[in-house]
Amino acid sequence: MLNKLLKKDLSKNSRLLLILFVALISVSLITRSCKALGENLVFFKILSIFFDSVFYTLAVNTILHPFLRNFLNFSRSLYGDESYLTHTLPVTKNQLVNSKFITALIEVCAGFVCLVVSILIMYYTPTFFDKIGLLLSTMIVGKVSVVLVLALFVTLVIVEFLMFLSIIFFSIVIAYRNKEKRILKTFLITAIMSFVSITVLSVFMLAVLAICGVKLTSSTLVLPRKAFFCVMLTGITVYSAISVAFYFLTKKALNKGVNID
Amino acid sequence: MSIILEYKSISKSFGEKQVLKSVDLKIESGKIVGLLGKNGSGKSTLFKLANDLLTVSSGEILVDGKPIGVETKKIVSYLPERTYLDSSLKVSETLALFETFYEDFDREKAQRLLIDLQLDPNMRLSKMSKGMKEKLQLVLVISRKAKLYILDEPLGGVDPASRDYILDTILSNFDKNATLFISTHMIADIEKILDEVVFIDDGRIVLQENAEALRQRENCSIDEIFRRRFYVK
Repeated sequence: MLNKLLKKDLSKNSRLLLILFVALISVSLITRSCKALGENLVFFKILSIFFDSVFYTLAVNTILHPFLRNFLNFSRSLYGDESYLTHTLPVTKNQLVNSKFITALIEVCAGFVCLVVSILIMYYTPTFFDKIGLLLSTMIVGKVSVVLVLALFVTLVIVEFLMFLSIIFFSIVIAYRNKEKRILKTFLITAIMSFVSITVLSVFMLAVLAICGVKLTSSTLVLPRKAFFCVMLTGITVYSAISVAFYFLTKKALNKGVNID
Repeated sequence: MSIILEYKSISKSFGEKQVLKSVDLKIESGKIVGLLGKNGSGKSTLFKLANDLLTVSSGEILVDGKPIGVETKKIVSYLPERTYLDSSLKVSETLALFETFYEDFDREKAQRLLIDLQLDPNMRLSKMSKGMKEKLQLVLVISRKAKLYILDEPLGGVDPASRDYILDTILSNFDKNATLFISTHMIADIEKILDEVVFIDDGRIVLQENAEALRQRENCSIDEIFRRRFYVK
């Protein structure tokens, strides 16, 4: 049944997200071409400036849309009119939650993959990674693999997005138990839980920096290679752990039952 | 006869307000039972509880002897009072959705009913009127070979000209061994098909009796009995 639910949930956003992803890749290709042609022709130079802004708008949407659509689908499907179908399907509450989380994971990851590909199309040159390496050398002491740093950074942002989504999912389930002030309660629970989560992460990161012997007194923070990787891995681990914790809390809360208007 | 649906001392509150007050009710298999009551008497709440859309404050509900869960959802076909299908879907896609999730869904029967009710399988729900959507939901619900059909106001949004046709469609299409538990304000329209009536008032079951026996005892129609009993001055 989970496969069937996944198919249903994924197909809900697929059309819109596919259009967005194709548009982003296409615009990045067009912008890159215009930039190449713009070296000799003013018309293409002007066109590339226009497409540059279109690219950034689409890039932001590619990241935000999967996040927002999953949040809206979760509340509509479990507590809106559609819930009359969702809760009467012969599936368990656990399967419903699993499907929503897997869908969010797939769509958020797909958005980031698409963004990374489009950025490479836009900016890749034989010296692309060398330039980023040069930039990183001002922040990290010691030799680091640029690809590894970028991969860690993208992973960190993805798990951060997923953590916020899992907090929102949990907040919706808790807030919608009662009939009153549901949106306000969702917002408040999300804000409180997010604050607590970020505080937990900060404490862990400070602890890791202290263990690595980094002093946080200087105005410009330059991290040793080992400390940088420790901080990144701590971020990914803590965000993932919080996401998993809220995933189980959401399941537990939903299994206590719903009250649909 | 076996009991298909049983409410055991069910109470349901929303905050301070108690909507159902220790309801005990047994519905036997193979019967058509009408749940009749005024607005806000607790009819929809009773139905929603049996379909896992509400959580009981106290008591227990059994469907075919089992507590509410995946197994009971497999044998209950529920028509809520509101439209719940995703508007972006086509009619044919809603059929596919039901076929995917419900093993007892009879697609051929659904397609026949769509033709009878003049619903275009290629039409998107966003282009359909409320009445058309309600007809489609009815088609989906009665195309299942369920043991228990729970219909909440199935004639609510249907025009008077189509009501008889809808009732005939329900009667001629639901499995004869199945149970039909139906609520409506249009008592005159459905009383001819009822085997049993249940009156609910202010969250309490005030009467459960054989429809024909009640008519003979009171020497009038159920519609009239209802009007007398729930007359608002």
